Amino acid sequence: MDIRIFFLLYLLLISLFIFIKRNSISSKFYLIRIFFPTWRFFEGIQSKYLIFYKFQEQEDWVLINENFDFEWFQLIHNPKVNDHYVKKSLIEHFMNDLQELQMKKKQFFDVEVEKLVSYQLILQMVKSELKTGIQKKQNSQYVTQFSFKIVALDDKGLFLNRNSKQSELEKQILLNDFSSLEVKKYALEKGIYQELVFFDSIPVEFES
Amino acid sequence: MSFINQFDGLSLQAALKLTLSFLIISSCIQTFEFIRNKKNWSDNGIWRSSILQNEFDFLIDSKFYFLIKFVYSDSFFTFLNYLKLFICIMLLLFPGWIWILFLLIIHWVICVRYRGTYNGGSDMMMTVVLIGSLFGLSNSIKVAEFGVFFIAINLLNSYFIAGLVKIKNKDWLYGRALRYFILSSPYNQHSLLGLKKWVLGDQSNWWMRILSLLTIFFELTCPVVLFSTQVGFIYFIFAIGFHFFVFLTFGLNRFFWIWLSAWPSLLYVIGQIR
Repeated sequence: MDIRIFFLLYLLLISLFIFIKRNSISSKFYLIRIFFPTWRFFEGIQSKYLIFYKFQEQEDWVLINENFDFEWFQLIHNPKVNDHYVKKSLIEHFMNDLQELQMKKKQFFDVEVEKLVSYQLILQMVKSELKTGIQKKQNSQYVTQFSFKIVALDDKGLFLNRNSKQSELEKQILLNDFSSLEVKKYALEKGIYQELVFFDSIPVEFES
Repeated sequence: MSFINQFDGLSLQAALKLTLSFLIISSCIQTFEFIRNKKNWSDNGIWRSSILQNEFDFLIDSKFYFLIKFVYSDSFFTFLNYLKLFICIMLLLFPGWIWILFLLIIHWVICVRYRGTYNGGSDMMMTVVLIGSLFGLSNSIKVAEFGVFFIAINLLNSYFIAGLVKIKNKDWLYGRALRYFILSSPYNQHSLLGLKKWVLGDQSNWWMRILSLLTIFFELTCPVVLFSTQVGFIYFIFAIGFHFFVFLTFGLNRFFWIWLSAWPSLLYVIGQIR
């Protein structure tokens, strides 16, 4: 085959994937995903997914929130921030998988979700955060189970007023700062804070 | 300025040498980061082999299943990373397409482990640069030129498509999207030289609008580099600044290095087309 035809076919395929595929890693497409670049960087404002966990029913939810300090050295070595991004895309993959499951079946059971590879990976992610949480807790020997939930934060609405003027509460939402109850209440009232998936009473068990 | 006026594009050899140098730097940076993050992909970590191999449950009765288990194993992934470092050294000392082929296979296996890509666009550009270099190191000049053209076209495509999707989006035109992305950065508010604080304080959003329009302008007008080597060089300088700003704001260091490795190909191509 003429090398130019190969080249044109490749560009045609890439263009097709740009229109057909959007972040989806359904079926086994992920096996060849890197060969079909989409280049749709920073396309637009989308819902953010946040993960919260708690140990006991009466406790407050704790947000898994990673923040980093900038250092110039990170230009050549930045493992923590890159790891943060891969965890973020893991949550998006899980939400994609859930959507796909929903499309296949109108009703599905927890056990089907638990079979998803992305769910199992998320569970490990939450467990690794829990370890730190348990270490901070007093009487940690009584911690036997935990719950976690995924929240979609659709804060696009906060950017929609013409001048993008935000109140102090809105600024805290934009910075994912849910430390005060007032912020969460405000977000719930505005309808931008939506609990999507909730997993309850998972036994705490860690490998040594 | 006189250097820019005299700039007449890169030679094929110089373009390939620079591409390979930045490719080696990029590969080493990625590998050291993986090694540092071992706790996350080891058998006690998040991306553990016992979970990942479930992806191929349908092959469980096949005699090839042991291969899946092996490829996803903690020890094989460790081996792959050290092998990648060794290959980088070999590529530096004895440049040859075979090392690039090995790097491409390792890169693909790593991306599959992370269900597509580890770092999104930078992994895709890495694939482009590896495929281009694979052809680039051929003995035939025509095939080598094809490799370099392949990288250059994809590089232009990356800017142009990114600009196209932004200009279609009102949030980008009004600066809201840029504001949103900067505020979503994983860096602390007091970090980033006070950038987040400044963005929050810019209630009129004019600065964000100006910066957004400049970004879109830069990305969409990128094909003009094909008409002048001098313009191409000026664009290259802007591109370095642009990717450095992206690193500064979002910590995306991998993007900076891999895009830098793709630029020499474009600097060769614009010298040829003129």
